[in-house]
Amino acid sequence: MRSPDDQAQAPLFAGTRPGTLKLVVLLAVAIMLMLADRQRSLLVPMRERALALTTPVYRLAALPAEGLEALRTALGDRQRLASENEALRADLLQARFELQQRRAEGEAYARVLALLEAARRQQVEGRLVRIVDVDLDPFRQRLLLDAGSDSGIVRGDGLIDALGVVGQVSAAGPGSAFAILITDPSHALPVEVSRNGVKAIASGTGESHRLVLHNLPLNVDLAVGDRLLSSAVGGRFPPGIPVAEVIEVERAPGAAFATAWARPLAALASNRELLAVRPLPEAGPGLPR
Amino acid sequence: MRAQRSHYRLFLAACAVALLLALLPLPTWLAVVKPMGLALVLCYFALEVPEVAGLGHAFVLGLAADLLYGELLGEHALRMVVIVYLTLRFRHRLRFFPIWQQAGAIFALLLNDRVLELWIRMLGGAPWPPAAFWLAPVAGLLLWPWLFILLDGLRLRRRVSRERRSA
Repeated sequence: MRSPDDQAQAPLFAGTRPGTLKLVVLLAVAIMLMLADRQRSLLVPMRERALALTTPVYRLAALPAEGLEALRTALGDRQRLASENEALRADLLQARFELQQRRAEGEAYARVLALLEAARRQQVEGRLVRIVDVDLDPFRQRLLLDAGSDSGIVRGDGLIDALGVVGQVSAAGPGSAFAILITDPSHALPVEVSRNGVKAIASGTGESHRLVLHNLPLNVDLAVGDRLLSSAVGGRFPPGIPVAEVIEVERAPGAAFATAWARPLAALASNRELLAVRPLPEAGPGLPR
Repeated sequence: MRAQRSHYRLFLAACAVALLLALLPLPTWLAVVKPMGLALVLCYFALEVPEVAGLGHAFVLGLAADLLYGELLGEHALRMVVIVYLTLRFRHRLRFFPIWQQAGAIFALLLNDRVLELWIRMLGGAPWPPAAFWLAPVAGLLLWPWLFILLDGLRLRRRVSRERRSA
């Protein structure tokens, strides 16, 4: 790294004095990179291309966890598997039953909608994606997905699990994609209250069990236990998917706005597979940052 | 010359392992160890083989870490450059410390690194991190003597085997 010139000048014990000029230049470059990266549009395409390089590394890092999982499955005793199977079958039955109910409700709903000639039903595309078992940063709310632009995942796709909204794709490379969770502080999601349709924005807090709803009117009709659903406003998620349950509403005396906190419904920490969804083309807002 | 190339190879291998290990999914209570791997390896080489661990290398490896962890581009790069600069700057003092005192100095370096990281993230609008965030330097402190012994062992064994071959 050092020039021969440098070495020739250096006396015996000062041979490794770091160059201050080099330090300043490198720090400046790093800071410029960070500033450029803050303006996502600048570096995201580059980042997506770099994902092609880093994907094999993720595969490698996920190997031990996958091996352990395979071993556990192989060694899992029959009894446990049988009971698990039974539980799953029960769940399936329950789900089928509920689906039937929903279908009936849906038909009724569609009839009403048709009568009212209200908003046409939004169609949804869904795609199953696996979560790669690597840990990007224990203090950040992000995921790595096993599928990328090769399998039709694009930046901005919504991610849901069986219980609710999980997050969004923030960069999609050829074979893998980064996603941010709804609990990431840089994520915000338009929601509506299932009980009365009140609209709000749920932002992440950086804690995996809390979302926050800022700037609510003081007289907002919101109570502990209310369920928040995704609304059509964002254009990223199909409307009506559960997001969170309100756990606290704060109306501080003297404050101009009320604030509420909610607990995400999706199993954010324990998922293996997610569904990537995208409401069929309609003008949405800008891409997530 | 050959010694340096062999050190260089060991340096790259150690950095690659550190980068990879940080991706392994660990239980939450263990995960606090992870942020420090690359920093510790860089510290070791800056102390013992400064010819291979220059600021330029620190920068490039930091960039690799940023890409790998999907971090703000330049964040690791800046932090690693600062760590290596400080280690090189105080190298002559640090090298003659007994290992526990050295670990203390490394702890201070890592704490400084955390403050820097916090500062960068807060500027980016992130909230105050959980308490476990501050445990990483402690983990680094506990890890340092073992890492030092391990890397020293690897380095010296290479030298011995090389000398034997040339003899």
